[in-house]
Amino acid sequence: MGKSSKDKRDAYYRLAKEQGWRARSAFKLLQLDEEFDLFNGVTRVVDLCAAPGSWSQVLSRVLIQGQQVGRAAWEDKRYKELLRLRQQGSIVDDSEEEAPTEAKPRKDVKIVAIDLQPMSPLEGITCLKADITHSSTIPLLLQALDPDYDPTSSSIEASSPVDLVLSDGAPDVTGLHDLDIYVQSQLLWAALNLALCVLRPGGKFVAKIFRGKDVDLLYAQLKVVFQSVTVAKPRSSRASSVEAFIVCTNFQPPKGFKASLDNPLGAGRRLEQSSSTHDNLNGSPRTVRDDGIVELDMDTQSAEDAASDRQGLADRSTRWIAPFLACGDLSAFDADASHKLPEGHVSLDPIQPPTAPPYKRALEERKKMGGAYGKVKGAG
Amino acid sequence: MLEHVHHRVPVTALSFHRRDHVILAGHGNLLRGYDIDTGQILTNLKVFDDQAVHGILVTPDEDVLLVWGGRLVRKLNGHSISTYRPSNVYEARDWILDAALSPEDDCIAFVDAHNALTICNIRDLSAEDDGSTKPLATAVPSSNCILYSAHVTWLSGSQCLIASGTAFGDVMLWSASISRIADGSFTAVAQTHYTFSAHEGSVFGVQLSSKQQARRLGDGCDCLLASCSDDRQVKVWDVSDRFTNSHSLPQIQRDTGFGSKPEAEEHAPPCLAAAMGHVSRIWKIRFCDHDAQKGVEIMSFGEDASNILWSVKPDSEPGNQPFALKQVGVQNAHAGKQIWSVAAAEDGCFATGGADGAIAIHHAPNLPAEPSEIDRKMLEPGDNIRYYAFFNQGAMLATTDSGSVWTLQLGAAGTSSAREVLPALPALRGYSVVASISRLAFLAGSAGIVYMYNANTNKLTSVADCGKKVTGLFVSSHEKSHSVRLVDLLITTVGQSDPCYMRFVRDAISTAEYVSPREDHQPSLPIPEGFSITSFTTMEHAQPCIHLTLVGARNGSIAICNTSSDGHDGLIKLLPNVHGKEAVTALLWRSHGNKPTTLSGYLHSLGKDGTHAVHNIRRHDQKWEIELIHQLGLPFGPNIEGLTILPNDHLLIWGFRGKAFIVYDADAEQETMTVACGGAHRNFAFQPSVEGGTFVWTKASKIYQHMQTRRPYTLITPGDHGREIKAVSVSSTEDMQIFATGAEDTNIKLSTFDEKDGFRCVQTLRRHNTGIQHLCWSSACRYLFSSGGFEEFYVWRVTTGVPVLGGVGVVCESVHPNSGKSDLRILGFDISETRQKGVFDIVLAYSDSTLKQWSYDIGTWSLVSTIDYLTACLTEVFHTSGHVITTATDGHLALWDTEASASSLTWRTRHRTHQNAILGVAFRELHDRSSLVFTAGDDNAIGITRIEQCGAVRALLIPRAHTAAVTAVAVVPSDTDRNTLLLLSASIDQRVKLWTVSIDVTEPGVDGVHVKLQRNVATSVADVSSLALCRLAGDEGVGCVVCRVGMEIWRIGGGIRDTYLSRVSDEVIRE
Repeated sequence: MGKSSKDKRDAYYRLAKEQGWRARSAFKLLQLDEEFDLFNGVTRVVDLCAAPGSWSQVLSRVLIQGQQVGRAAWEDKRYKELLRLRQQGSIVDDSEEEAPTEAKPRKDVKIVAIDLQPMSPLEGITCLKADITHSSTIPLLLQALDPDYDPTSSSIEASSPVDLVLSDGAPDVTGLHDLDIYVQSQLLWAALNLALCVLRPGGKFVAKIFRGKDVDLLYAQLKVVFQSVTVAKPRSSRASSVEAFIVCTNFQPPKGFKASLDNPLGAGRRLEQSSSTHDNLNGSPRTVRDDGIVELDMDTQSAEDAASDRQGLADRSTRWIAPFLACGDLSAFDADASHKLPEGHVSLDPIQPPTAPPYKRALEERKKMGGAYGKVKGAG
Repeated sequence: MLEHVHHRVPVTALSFHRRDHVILAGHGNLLRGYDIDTGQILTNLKVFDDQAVHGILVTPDEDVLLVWGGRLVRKLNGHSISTYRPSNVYEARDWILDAALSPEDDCIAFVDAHNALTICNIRDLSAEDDGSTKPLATAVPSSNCILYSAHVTWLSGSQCLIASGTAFGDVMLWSASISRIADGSFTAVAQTHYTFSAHEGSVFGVQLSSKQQARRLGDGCDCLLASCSDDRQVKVWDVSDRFTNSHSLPQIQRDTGFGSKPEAEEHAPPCLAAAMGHVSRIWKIRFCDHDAQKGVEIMSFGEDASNILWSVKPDSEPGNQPFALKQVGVQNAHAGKQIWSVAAAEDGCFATGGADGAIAIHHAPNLPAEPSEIDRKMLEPGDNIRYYAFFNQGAMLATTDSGSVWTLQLGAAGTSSAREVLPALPALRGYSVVASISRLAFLAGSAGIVYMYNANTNKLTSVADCGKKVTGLFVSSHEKSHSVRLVDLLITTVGQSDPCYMRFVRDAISTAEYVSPREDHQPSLPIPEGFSITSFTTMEHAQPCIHLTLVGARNGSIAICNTSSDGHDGLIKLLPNVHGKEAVTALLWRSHGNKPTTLSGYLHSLGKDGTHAVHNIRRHDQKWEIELIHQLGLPFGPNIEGLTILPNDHLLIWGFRGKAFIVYDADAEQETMTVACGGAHRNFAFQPSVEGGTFVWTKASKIYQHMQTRRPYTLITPGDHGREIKAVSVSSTEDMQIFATGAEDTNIKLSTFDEKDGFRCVQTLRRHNTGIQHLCWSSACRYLFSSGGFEEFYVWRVTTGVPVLGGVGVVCESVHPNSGKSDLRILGFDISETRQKGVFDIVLAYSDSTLKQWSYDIGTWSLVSTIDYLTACLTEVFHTSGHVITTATDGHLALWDTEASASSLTWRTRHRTHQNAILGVAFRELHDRSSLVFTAGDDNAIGITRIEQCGAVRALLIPRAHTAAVTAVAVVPSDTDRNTLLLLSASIDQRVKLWTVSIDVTEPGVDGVHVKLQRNVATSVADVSSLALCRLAGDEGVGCVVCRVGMEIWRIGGGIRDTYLSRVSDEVIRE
């Protein structure tokens, strides 16, 4: 395939190169921000599993440089034009024309990016090469946020200095779906455990999640410690992908709960459910929305004629389906669509080449021997 | 109302059960026992509700099975394969990676994904099942590191040795001393021996050897560790020395606070050998135990669905590791990707389980015998064997450069013996051709003299003199009765278009000799000018007495000639370019039909275009009817050389792929023999048998032989793609229900289903170059349409009920002219049949938001209209209640109108239902002519949109219909109430839900639509992408098939059989 075919197939890949992002995932965070106003009042952020660093780049541009990055930069003009022509006479939502709020660099911004993989430095961001599952990472992190932090005297709870914890981490999937979902959930638990240690009450937590089997167990656990939990899918994330983002706001640690990486939540330890995870099913199950769609609020878990068919102890605990929200305006580029390239389009090189895979050496060896590595039909 | 019938999903666990000669396999939540020889399912137990089985352990007395998956463990008690019954479910704290039974008492050790050790006594596990789940206590607590692999072994009744592989390339070797305390629980003291960075990527497999295995590398060797990884490497470590202690990984991290460890902190064992193998990740590794003579052998199993056998040999090269891993054999038994499970039996036999749902039983010894060179010492110095052909089991006739003729007898062990028939014949010197059939061979050379070799008499006689250099000899024969045998010989010569045709008859009296009839009784062959013959066969029909000669040409054409003794018809038909412009390499005739008075049969042909074609030839009312019923590409080629029908009625095809000679069982879709011979373009001879055959080939002026008397492996339940299924469509004809599936492997498979034997693949359509996006049958199911990426769109003509080809013949009737022209994907399409047979209106939905309407008329395409939607990728297009409707990734339904004047589509209105992509659609026209459209949303919601004939649209939304994206919906009318529909939905939350939707059409919009959840069941098919309705045997005969990572069939109860079937038969009648 030619160099520009990926540009056509994936508008965000092309835009990321044009706008200088290290990876197309930058748009996922930007679109999440559009919907949730994630950076409002935020100055202290921890970016977990940060490499290659596109989310840190977003943080840097928004918080440090005070840039207005957002929809205006990548709005798809063609869409609006077509819609206008077709729906002449009908009401066009002109809220999009509102003037953007003024942006400026913020004061006392502290951003720490953590990954086990090396990451190219970014101005104003402290990069830590550390293991997010390890308890010794927390004092390192706190010290990076406040250089005068004294690990021997300060207690974690007392400082609780972070407004927002982000994690875009995902494992290399194996194709064995239940194992992949398990490993991703472990990564989410690791990020959450760390967030619980450093987040201030009222703080926010945003992490990648695989929407798969038993994801409702994870949602229910998150709902115990955050007032609002939403599963969000940015338009820049492909519809064919299991990936979504869990956006948790207003951190409210339960009374008596003590976070610790030495006794993490996850495999064995779980949070006690509170009544807050139960949705209020009172009132009419049918509501007519403003757009005329009739929404039917009903119990979709327990069927008429079946007992529970889940054996695990945890699996019988509370499940809860977080509300879903698609992010990014519909006028944004569609990650699944093929796009016509603008006239005179020049395909750019990626800002940062992808991280070397562990099989890089195998590729080189095979190339030396003249083999068409990875091109074998059915094996790729 | 929703009952599980069958599933075929990846095989995630395997174990041999020796006493009952059974292989136990975990398929999703089921444990199945198969008879090793017949592949018959002997037991089918549901072990877990919604958890896949990942491990099976059989106790030495085989009275207890221990099965685990995820965190769950279950014990099964029984005395034979059909009596095992599960007890209570136990739950560990974390995902179990491995388990082992202690040699002395009945203790089991489990290692989990955070490196915790759990010990329990198998007798302490309840034998009853009261439905409860009980916890298992951990003996050695977990650490923070996440493991991808672990192997636990017992060194004694109180000590375990554990190897663990982490996600970051580290390996830990540690042991635990176990003691039982008063309350019956276990405690353990752990000790870490080694912690080291073993690989550059995740360690997916670790395995510890036994002491006996290690000793084969030297007396100082007590224990070996083998590891495999993401980095495509296999490594062997000497972990005999376990006296020193290492810091554990958490301790190292505690010291530094960082994940990367300074070298000084590492304590690594000596690496004995390392090698690179497989084209992708390596999942598993095992020591092979069966043959001590072979030293240490290791088998690795990969994502590339292959297994490689390695031999650990001393390496004397200075600077290298002390040993080298030598690759001794590769097998590709599984389709698609992934070997997920492995089991070994004591006799050296082992089993692999793949993502294709198949189990391969690999027989020992697994080594492909080295090819043996045929001894040429008997020849004069400087002379060499040139041409050869089999005339009998293991017996060949060979000519040499000097023109001498020999018989060669080949033995199974690679031996051969030669006997001279005649010393140097001048007519055969320097150049010769040989052709043979059973017990007869013909030879000719540049002088034009043709000789016959008769094995009965061991005599060579001259039968013809063509006067010109002979370029080809073709032979065919018919045993007309016990005594009468006809032999047809076709001789082609240089510069002459008319071949010489000769017939021989076996002497009825002596039965040893052959005689040739007088010249004026010899047939002539009425082939067209320039028809250069490359293949030949004949057929003989008794009543009416007809003899046909079938010849294939270098230009891909086939001629059918009447060569009956009256000889009136001459050339019956010339089939031009059956194999394009490539040579027809082989022809095979198979008569069929019970009536002796009508001639009917099937002509198989192979070509260098890499396809296998079948024509049905019938003689009816003195007229010939010839129809191409099948032509598909083979999984190897394009040099496809020969075919035969085996005594078990399987069609066997052979040819070359790259540098290997391949023998392929087309009915079993299995490569039965693979010989590395250097590739096509060489002299070779092959004599097939059910288990393999004998292959003889020339390479660099040497002659080699390879005889295979047993297939290297047998497959149980093969036929799945082994890759993610993206589309399914079920045919609805009465005679034969076909499940068409299209997958990421770019193939389409046609399968049948029955409840006893499950799915059986009958054809594989390998023509797409991209993953399949959508499939649809025409209403009479004579055509299948398929779409993919790169604008690929194909039309397949499908013939069912044929007595060959597993009952189904397939021809690709047309390739859309835009196929391959751009990188657009066609995600959905709508087919409507016109009144004219074979003419369709086709609307294609593209990924760049355009919709194109085409008219298709048996191979010709005309564009009716092209319309742009917005910018969103279109996902589906269909028509109902007079509207064409599309769905897209923007969550909207769009209604399109057909302009009466131009009969082209125009965009009319769009209606938002979902927040983002609509992934599936089902619809039903109601009796007031309005329609209900059910949509599956990526936003976890199901939308129910009512579209009235006037175009009024109202939607009802169930926002949290599933926990994750809803990917497919299907709708079935209820028989009991015409105002009720049954709605099936499937999601990547691995749940299938059955809803009842009742409609009061008198109410406006969706006010009269009421939804109720009836069933919420777990499916073993991960990442569900598609659903389709199907027919099942029995009274409650409607089911649905769920596809993606495997296929699963559910029966939908509730008396809906009649309605559904009447709909099906309506459509049949309509056509």
